[in-house]
Amino acid sequence: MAELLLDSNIRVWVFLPIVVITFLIGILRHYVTILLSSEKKSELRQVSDSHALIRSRLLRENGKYIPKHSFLIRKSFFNNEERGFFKTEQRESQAKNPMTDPSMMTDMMKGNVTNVLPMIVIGGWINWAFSGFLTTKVPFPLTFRFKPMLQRGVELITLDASWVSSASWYFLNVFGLRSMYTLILGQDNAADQTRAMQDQMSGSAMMAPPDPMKAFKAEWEALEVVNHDWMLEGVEEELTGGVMHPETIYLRTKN
Amino acid sequence: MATIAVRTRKSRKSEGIAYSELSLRQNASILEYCRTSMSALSGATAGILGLTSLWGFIFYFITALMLSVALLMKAGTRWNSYFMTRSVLFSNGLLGGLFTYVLFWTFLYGMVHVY
Repeated sequence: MAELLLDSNIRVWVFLPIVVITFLIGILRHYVTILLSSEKKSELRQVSDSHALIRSRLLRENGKYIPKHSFLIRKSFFNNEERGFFKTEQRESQAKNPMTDPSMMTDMMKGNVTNVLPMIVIGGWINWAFSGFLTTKVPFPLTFRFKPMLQRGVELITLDASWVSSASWYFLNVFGLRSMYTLILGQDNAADQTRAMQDQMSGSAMMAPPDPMKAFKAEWEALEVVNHDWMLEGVEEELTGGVMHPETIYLRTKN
Repeated sequence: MATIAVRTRKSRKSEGIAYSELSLRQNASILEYCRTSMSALSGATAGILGLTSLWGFIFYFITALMLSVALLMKAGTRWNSYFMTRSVLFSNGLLGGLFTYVLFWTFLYGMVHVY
């Protein structure tokens, strides 16, 4: 295939600017998100609830290291039929309707402003300002299927698939610079939008259980079935070298 | 005839090793950091050298291997206290690094060799 010769002005005025713009927008988004982010306020009641749950979980996991008496006292603090914590505490469900809670509305709006809006605006602007250039060539051969992906905006059938158009170069940068942001801005940065999505899915579930009563019920059941299994049986002997148990001794006859 | 008592070594109950979740994550993120830096640097190198097609990918895996070996030497014989398995030093972030590598490779190849 004949080599295409690209004007070197394209390099200076299209190729480089796209990289720089994409990169700087990512950094900017990071700082704007930090500026706009509001601290999640949690009520005292919620925090104490979640800590009660954590304590109960710790008891379930590590209860075998404390004496049986202590274990039972703690267990009965949570699970006693009349006075147990999980039995007596009553909480109303706190699942709020996001539409009626104004603070949630602003949070959602901020998320949109910092994530979706720049994507649309900058993407549109790049498309408008730098459309129709072939910017670069990937240094490895690609099959025909990659053409619509890499040559957005340049519809030439005979063109080799490894040439990249400006719009596609922008998208390559958007996705490729993700790990660079991690390098520069630290581990949990806001420049990367996929991470923000994951945070919304998984994050802060521990801090405030949406329905405390349900969580209490589940924790009560889990704690109820735990039996005390004393792990430190004979630990003093182990430490001091131990008494000899008959079954661990065999007799060797010295001739 | 004298008998002496010999204590047989009763096999201890193997205790689970406690891992610190925070430190594990910290180590993993440092590994990731190394990988990304190495990918970016080797990508830039490959782009400036003008490697094409297969050679570029081979170059990536060579540099990744070099990084792994360097990490292994750094971890030394006490890797056990930093990572749960040793293979993590080789496999962690290999494909994610490839993406960074390709971007830098393409970028500098375009800058130097296309125009």
